[in-house]
Amino acid sequence: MVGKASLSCILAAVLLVSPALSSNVKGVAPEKQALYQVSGNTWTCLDKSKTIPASAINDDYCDCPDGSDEPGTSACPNSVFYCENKGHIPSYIKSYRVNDGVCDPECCDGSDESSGLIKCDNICKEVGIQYRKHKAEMDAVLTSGVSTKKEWIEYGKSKMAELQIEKAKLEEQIAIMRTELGALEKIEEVAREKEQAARDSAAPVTVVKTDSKCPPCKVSSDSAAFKISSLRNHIKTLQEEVDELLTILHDMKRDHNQNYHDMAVKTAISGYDEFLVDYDIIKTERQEDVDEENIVEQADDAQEEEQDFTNEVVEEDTDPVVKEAAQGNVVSRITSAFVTKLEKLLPAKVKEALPSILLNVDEAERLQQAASKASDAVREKRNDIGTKENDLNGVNGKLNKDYGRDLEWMKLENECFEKDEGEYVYSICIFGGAHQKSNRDGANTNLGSFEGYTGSADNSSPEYYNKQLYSRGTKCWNGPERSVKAVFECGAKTEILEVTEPEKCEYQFKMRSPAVCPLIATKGEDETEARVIHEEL
Amino acid sequence: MPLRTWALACLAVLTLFVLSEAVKKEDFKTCSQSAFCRRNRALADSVNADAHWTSPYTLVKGSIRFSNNYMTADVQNTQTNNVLVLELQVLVDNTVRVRMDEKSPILPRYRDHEQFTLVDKAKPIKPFQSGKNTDGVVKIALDAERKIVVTPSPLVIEFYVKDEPVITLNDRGFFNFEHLRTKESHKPKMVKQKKEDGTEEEVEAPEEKDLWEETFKTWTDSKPRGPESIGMDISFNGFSHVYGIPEHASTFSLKETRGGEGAYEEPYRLYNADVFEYEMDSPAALYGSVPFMMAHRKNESVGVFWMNPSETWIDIVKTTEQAEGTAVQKVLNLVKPSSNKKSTKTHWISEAGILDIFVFFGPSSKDIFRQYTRLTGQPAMPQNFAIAYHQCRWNYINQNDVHEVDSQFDHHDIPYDVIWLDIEHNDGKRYFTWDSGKFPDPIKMQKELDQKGRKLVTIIDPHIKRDDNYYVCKEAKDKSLFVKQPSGDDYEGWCWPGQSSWVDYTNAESRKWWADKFKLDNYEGSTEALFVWNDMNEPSVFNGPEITMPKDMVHNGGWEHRVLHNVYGQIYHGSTAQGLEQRTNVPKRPFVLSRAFYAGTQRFGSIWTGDNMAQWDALQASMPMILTIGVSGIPFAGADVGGFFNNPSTELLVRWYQAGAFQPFFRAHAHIDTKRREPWLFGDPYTSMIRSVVRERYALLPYWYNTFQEAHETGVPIMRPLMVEYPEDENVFAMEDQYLIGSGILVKPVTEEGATQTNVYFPPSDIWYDLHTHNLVHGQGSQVVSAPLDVVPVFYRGGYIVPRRERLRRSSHAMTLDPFTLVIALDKQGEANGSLYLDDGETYAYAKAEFLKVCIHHCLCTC
Repeated sequence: MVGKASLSCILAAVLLVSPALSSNVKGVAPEKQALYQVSGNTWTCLDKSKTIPASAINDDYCDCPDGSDEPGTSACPNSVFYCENKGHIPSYIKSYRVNDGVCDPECCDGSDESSGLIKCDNICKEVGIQYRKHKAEMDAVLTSGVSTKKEWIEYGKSKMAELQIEKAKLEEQIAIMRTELGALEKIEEVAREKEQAARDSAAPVTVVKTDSKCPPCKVSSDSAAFKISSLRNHIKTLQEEVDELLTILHDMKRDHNQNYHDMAVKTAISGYDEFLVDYDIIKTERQEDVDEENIVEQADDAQEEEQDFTNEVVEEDTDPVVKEAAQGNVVSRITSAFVTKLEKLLPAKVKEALPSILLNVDEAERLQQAASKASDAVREKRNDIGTKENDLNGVNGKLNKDYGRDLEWMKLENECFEKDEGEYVYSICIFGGAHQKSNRDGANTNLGSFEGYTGSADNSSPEYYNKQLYSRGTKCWNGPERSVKAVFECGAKTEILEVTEPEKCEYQFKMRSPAVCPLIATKGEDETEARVIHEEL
Repeated sequence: MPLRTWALACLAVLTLFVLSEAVKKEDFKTCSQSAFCRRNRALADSVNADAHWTSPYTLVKGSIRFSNNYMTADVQNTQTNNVLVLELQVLVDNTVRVRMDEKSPILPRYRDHEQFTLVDKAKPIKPFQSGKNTDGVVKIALDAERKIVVTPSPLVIEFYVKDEPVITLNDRGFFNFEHLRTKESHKPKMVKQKKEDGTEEEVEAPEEKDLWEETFKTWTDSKPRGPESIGMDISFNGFSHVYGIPEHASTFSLKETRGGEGAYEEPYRLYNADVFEYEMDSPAALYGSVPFMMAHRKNESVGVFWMNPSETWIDIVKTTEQAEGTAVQKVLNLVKPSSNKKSTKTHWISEAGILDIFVFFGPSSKDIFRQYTRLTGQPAMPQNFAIAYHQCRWNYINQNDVHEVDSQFDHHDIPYDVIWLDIEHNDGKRYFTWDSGKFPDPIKMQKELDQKGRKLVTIIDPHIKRDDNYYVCKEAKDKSLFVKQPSGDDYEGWCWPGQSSWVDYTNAESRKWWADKFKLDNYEGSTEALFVWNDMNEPSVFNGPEITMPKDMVHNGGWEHRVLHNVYGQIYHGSTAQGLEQRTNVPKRPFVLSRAFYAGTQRFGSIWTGDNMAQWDALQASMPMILTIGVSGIPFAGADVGGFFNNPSTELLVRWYQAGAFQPFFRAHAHIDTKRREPWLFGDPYTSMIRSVVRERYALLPYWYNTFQEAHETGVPIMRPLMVEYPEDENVFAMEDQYLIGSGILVKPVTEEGATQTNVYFPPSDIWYDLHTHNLVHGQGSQVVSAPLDVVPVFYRGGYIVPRRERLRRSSHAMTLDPFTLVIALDKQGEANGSLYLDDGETYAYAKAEFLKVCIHHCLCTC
């Protein structure tokens, strides 16, 4: 029961009816004029949905569902209006901006306003000049910004590669140290056990101990000599294995294809290089030790010692040698020195067996010393590992940090910027914190620490990296914790343009930086083709 | 805008309290803390307790005079022998004026406010018939049906329609006119009191307390004139609903105030006050006061206007009485057997001035709106932009911010007409100045807005910063235009700028000086695209009693602030409006939004309901509040969309936009501590929901303009209670959650959280069409209507034609040349009527007949 009717009698006075009589249909781009050629008295909507009288084109009444019959009026809400803008860039504006009494800057030729409500001069010439000037400036900024950004990207990449290497290095070092730690822990364990065992049989041992320094330590020299000899054989075997491995690594270093940039291979090679340096030193030292040992061995030949099997799992040929106090000290010194040096070289399996060499060479006191020494070694190793792990965490932190799509933000890490806004000086350190310092009393207020990028909810969007949030600053009285939104636009250098407080205690830093300059240059964009999205001047 | 956050800053301890408690009730008086209210209520109580009570006021025989067009008589208080003069006038259009003042007061009593309140001189006309009988009973007939009967002893004044008194003054004998006296000559009333030993002694009656000085919290009111209050009871016989007396966050149909179920304990209070986070469902005073009340029963309305701008309290009770008739009826032998009927009995208590009551006979509510606005002034005709959408926030922080918000509206295709700047825009809260750091080029800013047909509103408050380097302060000081202390020095108090003084707008020189401040040359950085917002004009004084000016401060002519408090903000509002009107050679209609208001405010512009909360109950309260303000002569009113304090949920914000788009003044506003809430910040679907309802407002602007024009001509509210259009339908007499815009559109905003449907009452005498679908509503009376979040239930009324403009534009100005679409909603007979009013939308040319009003009639016949 509801009817609609246009109040045409009133409207006649104010409506401008401009049917498509002239050769050019208003609001249509030259290349699309052909679509408005009328054959006969009718015309078909561009979406082919309807055929209407030719006079209905641009009659300020919307006939076509796609709005195509009213390119020159505001009648169809879904239509666009073409402005030729001679002297500047042609553009399209939304139909509701046609004949609305506003001289749209996007339509500098004034063609959008023909109703008489307002007279819009053709200002395209001036606008064009201004636009080109502005654009040239912007292009210069963009060029400069983009080139800086590219440098930053390169910086970021190489820095990242360095970090990767460092990471691999640290990981390897830590792995090795962990192995060593394992061995040391074993040593410590055995030492502790022996110490305990010695302590368990403390009463008789202690009594004897006062009389003679090491009565239970009766080990035959022969047996010791045998053991040393078999140990030497074992070392020799190991040495051969090490040499073989060194050859393999040497060949790999020489023959690998460097262009593959295989991190595993690179890490192995750098590890090999370092090993070689250490290995040379160790090899020399070991030789000296072995020589020294030979002398001691000869001196001890005549003496007999008692064996003490405290560890059943210990293989016979590595059974510890127990000697008289003085001699025992010598042996202990040699073996311990030997073991320490070997440790770095020997496989874990061998190391497991080692403690037995060290043990039972002395009385309880020595056992205790040995045990605490072993503990010290373990502790020291753990500390070393901790340090390395910290380093690794640092490296990993950086590696996992989001420095932008192309690592362009890495260069700015911890760079700080300031802006004096009269009452306060505002500062921001990228990925660090933001502050507000009063110019009156110097009071410094924490406005927040870096939390993340907030340019878009979608981190794959190009805008994602254009905003940063610094949050959890000092709480406002009766308000929220202070925070800063740093909003970046492309610039030749990084700077704060303006600081505002759009909501209480929520600051906005308007900033510029090359980091957000678009890498795909918008420069050579076709200037003759009109864009539907208007160009802001 | 806003309130004393600074005060909170100073008083951390209080703050904790404020945060949890919202309104600080103890900052504002109860009736018992206001001595004159306490005295008059006590009198009412004692009368009620005394079955043999007789009012001491009697007409003095032989003093009755009928002059050409009014009657006068002396009235004597037989207890004090003080003599009053009663004046009774019949005015045009079924209106009667009753005045009483002391015959020879020791000092004049305040009546100058008439010049600020009445537009018409309220000239009396010769009554149809008048005379008295031998008992001294006076009868004045307006016409064959309506007459006034004055009974001499005790004095009772009755207003008859068809032999039945509809309104009775001093019906219950509460009339009390405290004559001025000196403290020395005052004889305290003594009462007997039993002592402990059983003997009696005479002591001063309790009501003698606080007659000459009164202390509230830390403030002492010096009361140099002593007691001068006026109390009168007014009965609406046979009327169970009364409306009006804004501003309160209360119901449309007013509640009882003497306790009991569903009743308040306190009277409704009229005392313009800046109330922080005001309470819902309360008779407590708010920012504005209109002492106008309308009563309604089936097919009949009557009204009273109690013209008094001093602090006023109104008690309301409703009685169901046997038809035994009043004393007067018995005397006149008029008692008729009739059924029990419910009556509303009110008791009006004002602190000072004279008794000056206007009675409106109606008989319809629309007649009463005309009768009332004939006296207090027509609602101003707004400019086109004023009735469109307004975007406000405390604060758009700088010129870039304004530009950015402006551009975003275009970017998101949401129309708006006006952007507002709150108190942070100026230099240290010095009004008429700019913070040049934030707004380096306000003229450029306004020009940019103006190019799109948009306007800027700046806030200008009545408190002037005490600073000799501030020209406004300097000039007002030099010209002695500030309100004074009793000592004669300028009154100073605290407000936004710190130490401030208040311009005394009751002084004609002040008003002229103030209006001149708006000249484009005087108000630097202003253009014709700048309009004004008057806030804090209750006046709000942060360190004053009840957050306002002490009552013993002195205005022009030596009048105490006490006698005119409620009209202060209205005069200020008017001076500002005058300034805007005068700044161009061709006067243009001003736009000034005010927070304080009084009877007559409708002549100057719009008001809003002040600092509301972002809560559902505040959204609900906005409707009875605006309806009440509307029936009290001020049609151009609204509430802050979204709620001023706190952050609304997205759902609440959408629902509030839907309600606000269908309220006369449509402005979004937010406190400085809230999150930004411009419509595009919420994303779809919410942004689209807001966009669509703002667009609906714009599409209906021709209809709104039409309705504003109707209000301008007739005083009939724009946001119209159903009882106005359906005076016979008792179902709608108290209805406040749905209403009409004009006569032709029914609105039921959804104000319940989570609601997806709502009950709409469709008056059965009409047929209805859904505004969005044009579908006929099936069924009558209360119907369940689907209302998901994107739907606001709005309906066309059968028989009405609604003009629309369907093209989406940036602003109302951009729609100037757009074609109209007429929606013709046919009634049961297939007919419809409507009109389309057009004028230039900004000047007063319409007054010279430069307008177009087309009346449109559609029928099925061939006409």
